[in-house]
Amino acid sequence: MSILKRRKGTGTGAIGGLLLIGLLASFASPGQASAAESASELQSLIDAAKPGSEIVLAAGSYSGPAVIDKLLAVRGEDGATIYGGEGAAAIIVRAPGVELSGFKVVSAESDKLAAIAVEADDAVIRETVVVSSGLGISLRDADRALIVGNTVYPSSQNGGADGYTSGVRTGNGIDLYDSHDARIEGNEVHGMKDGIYLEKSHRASVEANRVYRSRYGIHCMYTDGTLIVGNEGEYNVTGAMVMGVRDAVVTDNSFRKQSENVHSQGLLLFDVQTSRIERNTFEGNRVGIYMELSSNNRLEANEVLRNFVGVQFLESADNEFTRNTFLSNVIEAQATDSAGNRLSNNYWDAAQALDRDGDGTSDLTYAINPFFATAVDRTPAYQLFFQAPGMTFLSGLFTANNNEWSFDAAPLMNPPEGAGGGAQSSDGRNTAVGAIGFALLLAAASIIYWGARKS
Amino acid sequence: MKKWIILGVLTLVLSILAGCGGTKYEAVPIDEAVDVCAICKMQVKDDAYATQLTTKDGKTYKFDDLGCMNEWKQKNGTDNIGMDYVRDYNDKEWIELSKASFVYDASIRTPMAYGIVSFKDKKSAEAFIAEQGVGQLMSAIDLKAHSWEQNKQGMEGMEHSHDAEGGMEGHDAEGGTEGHGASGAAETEQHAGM
Repeated sequence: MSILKRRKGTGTGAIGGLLLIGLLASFASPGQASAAESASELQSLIDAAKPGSEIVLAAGSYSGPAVIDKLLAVRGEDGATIYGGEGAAAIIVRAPGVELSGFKVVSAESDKLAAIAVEADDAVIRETVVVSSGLGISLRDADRALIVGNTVYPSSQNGGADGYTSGVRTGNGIDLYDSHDARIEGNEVHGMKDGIYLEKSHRASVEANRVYRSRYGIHCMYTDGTLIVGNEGEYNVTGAMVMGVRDAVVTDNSFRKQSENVHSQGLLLFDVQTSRIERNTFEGNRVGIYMELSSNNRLEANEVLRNFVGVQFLESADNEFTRNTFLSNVIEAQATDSAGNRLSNNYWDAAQALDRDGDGTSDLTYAINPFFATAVDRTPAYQLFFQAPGMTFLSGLFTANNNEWSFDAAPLMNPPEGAGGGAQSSDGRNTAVGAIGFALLLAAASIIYWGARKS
Repeated sequence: MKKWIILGVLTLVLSILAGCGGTKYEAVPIDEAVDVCAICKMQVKDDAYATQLTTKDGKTYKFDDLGCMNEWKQKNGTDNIGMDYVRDYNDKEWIELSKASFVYDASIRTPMAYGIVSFKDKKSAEAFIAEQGVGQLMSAIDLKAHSWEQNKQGMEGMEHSHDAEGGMEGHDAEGGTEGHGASGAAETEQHAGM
């Protein structure tokens, strides 16, 4: 059963009349692709609907491809599944203001085709589940889209112990091209090529999304004024890849465990200018923050924890780098050809610090020696000499031009307030460890005491 | 008879020695798991946009876009390059850059938006232009005078049309949906046996 209703009080102010059309919908299991054959055609439902109305899809299977070329809302009830059609996107939106919500879309097309393709402005896509072997949701020349609470993942998750292989990453999860002022919020994307991909799409707001097991979590190419706030990225090749961007705001994100690829990074900034990167957490990545050809950015109050390389600067000048916390990174920082960066008041747990005047900052500067980074860059095999005594000796020897090195003029003596990633919980852990230790001690003492008495 | 055998052996030996003399450069395959562009640090996809060059001391650099290879040459010069390769758009065969034909148009989507695709011969390049309806045919020599401008503005800077089926937009919707903006013509690409 499908119900067709008039949408109330939207757009042209249509008055809500109720229109019911009984439709035969097969009750085949929505999980099976073969069900598509006996499914009702979505296109005929759309053709029958009046502009400005809402189509409610009851549980069951519906077959695409369907083109929406008038103002419509399509809402799926629990268990409503739309299957993609041959050689086309399952749903193509060609009219402005269309709303899609609630249903599941399954598309088994190639990597060039999206499950939901939007080609018109002001689209709303809310709480859909998109299963696609190609692209998930694509927007082309579609401004002011609202994409909220959707889940996107690939149809094939074969191989790999955890159900993923890099080979199955075919298309991007949410893919914008030339589509401005989009809001992408609270979506979950996994196993795709790029989780959220923005190209030439300005002023997008990407907020509170979760992307994991994809190639690049969030990937921006030539976008201005992008907001990346409060997102989470795990086990991607790179958490966020920001390239050719001006005036981006990257704050309060957490990028963890990007470490499985030889080129993994938490955040990569390439050709990024005048942007703000603040209060993010980079934990357990191969490289926490990688910057190349990026100038006049402000990096403040980020937590860089337990990465192999904390931050890496390459040809990046005149950046402001303050109040960041570096804890337990194997290499805290590498900088080559990066003059004029202003590093100050960061906390480096490996820095030799001395505070004579008690102002909380060290009187010793903390310099980043580029020797090892440069050597490895020229000959990658030299990575073998990581922390080899000879390499340490040579690094100490080549200190010519050290006025061109990046250095922290006044490192913090203690991590900034609230920093440290789980420092609060470690107190609790310490108490527990203490209790266990005490119990063991008691046990040992009693064994010795009673054992000694017996013999 | 014996003379002929000696002569034959001599020719063989000489040709082997001659073969050893010149340094031979060969294009190496792309490994998507580990290859990143030497310039822009993005993953190099094993697609028609990938390029590579080998220096005279035997180091190979791979690029995800012809424009990135050009960028490398601007930075490092061309004196030390042994050979540089591009790929045929249709069958992804590696071809020496100097022997390839190129098509440029700002609307062609390539990984770093340089908008240049390469072909093994002039004929297939012309066929591509005919199919797309846009594009400027270039030789390797023409490339040296090329502006290498990246199309970072999309359609915003160009004439704007709200008809989704109109011109390049329609073509984008159907075709150019790959990863970081690859592909001008989806069909051609699919025929290439991806």
